[in-house]
Formats: sequence, C-alpha cells, structure tokens
Amino acid sequence: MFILNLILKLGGWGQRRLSAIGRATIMLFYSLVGRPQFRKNFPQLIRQIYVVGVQSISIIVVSGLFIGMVLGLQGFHVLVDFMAEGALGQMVALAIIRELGPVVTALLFAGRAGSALTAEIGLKKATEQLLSMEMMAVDPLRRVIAPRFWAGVISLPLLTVIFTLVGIFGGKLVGVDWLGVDDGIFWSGMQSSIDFWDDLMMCAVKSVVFAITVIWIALFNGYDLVPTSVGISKATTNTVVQSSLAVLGLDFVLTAVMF
Amino acid sequence: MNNLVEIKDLSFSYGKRIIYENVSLEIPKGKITAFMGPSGTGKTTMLRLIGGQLVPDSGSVMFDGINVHKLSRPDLYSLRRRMSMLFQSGALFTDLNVFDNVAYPIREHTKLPEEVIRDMVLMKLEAVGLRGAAGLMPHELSGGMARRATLARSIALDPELIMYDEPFTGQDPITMAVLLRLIKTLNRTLGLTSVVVTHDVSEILTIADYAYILAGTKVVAGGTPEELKKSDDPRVRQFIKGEYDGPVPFNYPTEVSYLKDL
Repeated sequence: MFILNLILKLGGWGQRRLSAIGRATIMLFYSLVGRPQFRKNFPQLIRQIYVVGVQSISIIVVSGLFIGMVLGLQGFHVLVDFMAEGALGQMVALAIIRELGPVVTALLFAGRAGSALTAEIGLKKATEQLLSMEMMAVDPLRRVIAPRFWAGVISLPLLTVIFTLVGIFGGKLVGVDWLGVDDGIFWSGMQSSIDFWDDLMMCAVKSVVFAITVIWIALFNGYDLVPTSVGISKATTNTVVQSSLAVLGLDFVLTAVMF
Repeated sequence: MNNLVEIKDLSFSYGKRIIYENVSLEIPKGKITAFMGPSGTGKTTMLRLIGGQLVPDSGSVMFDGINVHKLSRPDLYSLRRRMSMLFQSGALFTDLNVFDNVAYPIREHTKLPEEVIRDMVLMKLEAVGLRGAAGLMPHELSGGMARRATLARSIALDPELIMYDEPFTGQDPITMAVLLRLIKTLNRTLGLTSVVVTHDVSEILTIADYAYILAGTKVVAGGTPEELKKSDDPRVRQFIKGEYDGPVPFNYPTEVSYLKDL
C-alpha cells in the first residue's frame, strides 16, 4: 500500500510538472509567434530593458569587482608558491569568462530582475489587469509578456559582458596594482591564452541560454500563479529557486557538450 | 424583441463543481439587464462566458448572431472590441495615470493623432466627472473614483455592450447613487446595452429594464422589475426582500449531516 501510494504521488507530481511545462511552452509560443507590432511594442521594450537591465547594473558591477578581486587575491597566494604569479591574468580571465561571468550574472539576474518580474506580473493578474486587458481586445501575452521576455534576452548577455570586464579589472587591481605582478605579463598571458571560439563564444552561448531560461521561468511563474498573496510569494520564491537550479544544471551540461 | 446576446442551454462547471446547467437567457439591445443572485452563484462567470474568456461545457453564447466560442483567437479579439467589461476590482493599470488609462484602448486600437486622443479622453473623463483627476495615479483615487475612471476607460471606444461586475460593492450611498445615474445616462446617451451583475437588489431594480435571478446553477426567474416584485415564487420573494430563511440555502452544501459531523 505504501509503495502504491508513493508511485501514485510520484505520478501525480510528474503529471503536474509536465502540464506546467506544456502551459509554459504555450505561453511562450503565443507571446512570440505572430505578426510583430513594432510601433506598440518598441516603447515597452525600451522601458523594460531599463527596468530589468539598466537597474541591475549596479549590483552586477559591485559583484563583478569583488569576485575579480577575490580571485586575484586567492590566485596570487597559490601561484606565488610555485613562482608562477605571471599566470594570474590567465587564471582570472579564464575563470571569469568561462564560468563565473555567465553563471554568477544569471544567478544575480534571477534574484534581482526575475523575482521582480514574477511579482509584477502576478500582481497584474491578481488585480485583474491582465483579464481587463483581454477584454479590451489587447492580448496580454503580446503586450506584457513578450516585451519583458525580449528585454531579458537582450539585457542578460550585456550584463554578462559588464560583469566579465569589471571582474578582470578587479583581478588586475589586486594582482598588479596591489600585489605587484608585472603589468605586461599579466595582460600578455591573458591575451595568449584566451581563444575566441573556445572561451568568448562559450561565454556568449551560455549567457544567451541562461537569459532565455531565467526570464522564461520568471514570466511563467508570474503568469501561472494563484492570484493571492500566498500565491505571489510562493511564485517569487519558485522563480529564484528554479532558475538558480536550472542555471547551475545547464552550466554543467553546456560545458560538457561544448568542450 | 431584438436581442444583443442570446444564451442557449449553457452548461459550465469548474472541475466537478457545476456552476450552470442548461441556462438560457437573452439580453435585449439598448436596455439595462441586471443579473442578481446570492454570492458564489457564478454571476461573474456568466460575464466571462459572454466575453469568451471561459468556454462552456455545452450550449452556445451568441453575440449579435455570432457564436462567441466558435471564433478563432484573432476573431475573438476583434469581437471583444465591441464589448467591454468593468471588473470588480477596477483593474486600472497601476503604472499609468488616469488619462493614460483611458487613452490606452484608443491608442491600442486606432491610429488617431495625440490631439484627437486627448480630446476624446477628456470628454470621456468629463462624462464620469473626473476631468480634474486626469493626472492622478490609480493609487491616489478613492474606491468610487477608481470605479468611475474604469467606467471612462470602458466607454473609450464606444462599445455596444458593457458589462458591470459588482459596480456597487463597498461604495458609500452617494457614490452608489452617482454610479447608478451614470449607468443609466450612459446607457441612454451612448445607445449602449448594459449588463449589471449585483446583489444590491433595491438599487438596481430602480434602473434596470429587465432582471434575472440566478441561483444554484439555474435561472430562477426573469422579468421586468415590476413582474419580479409581484412574483409569488418563494425563491424570488426571499431574494428580493432579503429574508434569511427560505428555499434558497445559506449553508454551503455538505454530504455529512451536522449531527454526524459533531
């Protein structure tokens, strides 16, 4: 009996998950497929890029700087034992470009912008704003979901670039300016070891994939939530948890596939 | 009589809970029709069925001869331009001020120049007495003002049908009188057809041309206010007079008897 119940529960859980994935796909399909309406959606898109992208810059810059500085500090103390502190530039740059840049930016983005989007859409749903839009013959998927989706897909890769640049600068700040690694060796080591396809393209692919994942999860959780205060708080938590786990899982898969 | 909306043999349920069973009713063109009934009988559901937001299990909803639920998504959206709905919570867009809220449907569906839109919006706002509040944000409005602002937005594109979902809940007597008069004058001057869902029986019967009482999955009664007031059906009498005891049950249905439950 216990086993049977367990199987039943597992089946039910699987069924709910599958139907959620189905609904999420339908939501994305109806938001993105169709005749583009630039005149109406473009101002919305710009506004959303400001909200999800520009307003996230400060947290990205500060985190990037400190992560780069810590990498420089830790790396220096390990490398100096082997008289290899000249490889510091290479180490910092590779770590940030290949992994930390896209992953940490996506995690911060999920916490900063993803949760806010879920709460905003959820509140619009709870206060019947989405329903009344539908009754005004305006499709909320096209007018509310689509601009936010594109804003996220555009913003996150750009934020990743900022994070990466600031991170490398942070490593240089500690390694070169404070601990005295040679300037020329720091940069030339970095230049000779970074490959355009293997490293920079990998970073780009990762950040675009993470962008789609995080923003999709955030928008769907907002659009699909139970319109009560408990429902909204649950959905915001779900957004952060699910998108963080998805980013970390996908990071492993992408690294394994592309290397 | 000339009907704008005709509902035939409509059945609808949320999962296992049956809301409507073979309901048929008509909404005459150019009149004010009231849907009354105890809370929880799905009066709002009826409006959302007419608007095509919910799909019935069986039966049909005809709007001006068009079956609402047989339309494709784009056709449904173009049909919805001919109707509008006033939600219970007001549902103003919280990130836009009153002016932009009223301008929203005009900007969405027309390519009119801004000066024309400005004049149209101010006229609609004047009609509900809120021209002076055009620059306020929704959270700065009182409950009654928010309802009126939503009303201005609903009539922005001169729809044929306007559906009011509980427009009087939580309003003071003065606001209520204002809203009642607005519904009546708008209906007459704009040549609208109005549907009002409410349980404020005595108020709505002063302006309604026709009224239905919905209770327990059925239409219990329908007729002009005079006919309803004279009706000797005990369920109608209980509802119109607001008596606590009668054939319409107050308790949520349960299968276990009270004695057993204790």
